[in-house]
Amino acid sequence: MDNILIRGENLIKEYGTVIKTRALDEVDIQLNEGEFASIIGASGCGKSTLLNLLGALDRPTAGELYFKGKEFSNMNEYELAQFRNRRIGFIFQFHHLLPEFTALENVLIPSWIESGVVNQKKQERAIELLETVGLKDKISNPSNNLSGGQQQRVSIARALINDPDLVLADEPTGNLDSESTEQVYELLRKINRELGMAFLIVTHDRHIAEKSDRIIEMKDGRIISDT
Amino acid sequence: MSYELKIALRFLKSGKTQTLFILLGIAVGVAVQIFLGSLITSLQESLVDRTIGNSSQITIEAEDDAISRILTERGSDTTLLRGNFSTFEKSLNNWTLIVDQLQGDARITAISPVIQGTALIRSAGKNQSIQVKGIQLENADKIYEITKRLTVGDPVIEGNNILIGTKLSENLGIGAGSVVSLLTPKGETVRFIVGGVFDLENESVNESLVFMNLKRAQKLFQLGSGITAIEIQISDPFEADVAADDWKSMLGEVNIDQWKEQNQQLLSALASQSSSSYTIQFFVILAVTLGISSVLAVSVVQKSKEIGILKAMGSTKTSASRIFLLQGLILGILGSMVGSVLGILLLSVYQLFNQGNGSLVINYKWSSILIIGMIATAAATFASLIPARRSANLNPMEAIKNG
Repeated sequence: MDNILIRGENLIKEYGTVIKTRALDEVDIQLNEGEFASIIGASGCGKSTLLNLLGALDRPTAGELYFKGKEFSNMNEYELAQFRNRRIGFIFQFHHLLPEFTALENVLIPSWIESGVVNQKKQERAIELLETVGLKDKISNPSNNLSGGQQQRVSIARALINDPDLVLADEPTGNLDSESTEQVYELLRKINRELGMAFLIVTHDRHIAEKSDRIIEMKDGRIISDT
Repeated sequence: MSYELKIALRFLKSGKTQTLFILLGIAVGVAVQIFLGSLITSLQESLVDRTIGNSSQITIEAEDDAISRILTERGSDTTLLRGNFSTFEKSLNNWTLIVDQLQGDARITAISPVIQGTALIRSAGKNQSIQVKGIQLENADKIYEITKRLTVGDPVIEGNNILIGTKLSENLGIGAGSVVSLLTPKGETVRFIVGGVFDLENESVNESLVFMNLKRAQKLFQLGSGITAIEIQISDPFEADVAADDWKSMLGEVNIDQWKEQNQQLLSALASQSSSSYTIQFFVILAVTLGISSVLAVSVVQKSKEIGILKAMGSTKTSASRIFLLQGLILGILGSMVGSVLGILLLSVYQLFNQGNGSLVINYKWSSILIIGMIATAAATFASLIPARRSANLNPMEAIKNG
């Protein structure tokens, strides 16, 4: 079980040039393959910052990041873009689908980015994933024609299309009602069980965090507990 | 299809009103350019055609003799009697050789040997001084289109037949079949028959020009087998100076005049007309470019979330900028196409309403429409450069964070 998927050492992230704000203060973190973990903490504690660093959306001010033993904090922008496309799936609080595209097209976009061209290679897989998230009958709906919960489920399918090793979710249920929230978490757990990719979920809801295998608690840019 | 193109197309489609306005902007710009460009070009062509269309563009004459040269080159301090000035233009004796030499030049569309002289025409007690032009009808026709412009009589100049202008015919009260007397500077009087009356659409020409057979004119002015000038038209009149220079170095001892030298004023008027037209066209393009640029810049802000999410999913900077460059390119191509149709329509409408007055026919060239379209497309793409750079440099986290 000790297959380390992603590891951060001595991560420091500072914002601002004149007045420096330290969002992350010497954080060490590691996540195993297939693990289902959550990060909790009050807003401003640095949990989203940590997620962005692990997802290669941002670079640390200091410290190293390793993915399957290979350092990626020193990759160039092109390599990082490719890394995000192939290895990481993102789910955001405000789902961020492209409203100009249908549900199916939204799911396919990461595969288009991967190959550079619009193709139907992964069409079957996309339909399969939409079926998994319970939206088989909505595949050709324009994405802004779906409810909030449905949109979030489309974005989960989108995060999975390129078979990533790690899915990062930033408050995935932040603007959903409690029923949809429950459904989304059940779904994420199910995918974790069936497809075996690791999940790291940022939330401020302890009740939800308790459903994961591991809870990392943060405060003022530091990890204060990891169970 | 690249996925950037697909996204660019969807972005354009989703912002329908915005896209429509920007397209309309480009189209109007292109239409104005086509209209203005065609109008100015046609106007200039018609002006040039009126000026030189039915006259010699390049005229080859014998070199001046010594006396004439002194008289024309020296100022008023030269005490030479005007009486020394030759009344006849010097004859060009080796003209058949020159014509043979020039015949091979592909630029030449008409080459006509002529004899020019002055005489007095006399009929029913009225006298009028005229310009006699001895011609070979078939060659001169290519320049003056005499046959086409004959109002009365037949295009015949054999024997003692001559052709006169409408004004002269009116002034002297003569027409086809009338017999007139010509008095040459040497004091000889010869009778001729008016074969026909022409209208060359030029008052002074219609009043004073008389055509007769070249051989008859040689006899009348006692030139033997010589002529006084060779008149030439070429396919591109604006090449006249180049052609004249070429022939001057080839032929040597002749005088070559060309219309551009004699019409400097017209040419500079045309040039300033062109440059003002170019200035207007430049500012039209500039306005269109700025319009596109600002609309696309707004679009980048509107779509910042989408671009952010695309980047999070692995789109590179290049792709993010390409999405907006492609939008500029598509807008440019579509706008140019719509604008071309609009421009041609505008020209037809203009033509329709201006049919009656003046005979200006506006022609448009597909090549210039293509060039205008290409410039507009290039400008639209150029206009998208700044928005594209903003898109490329958009920070995905910032874009996504704000919900």
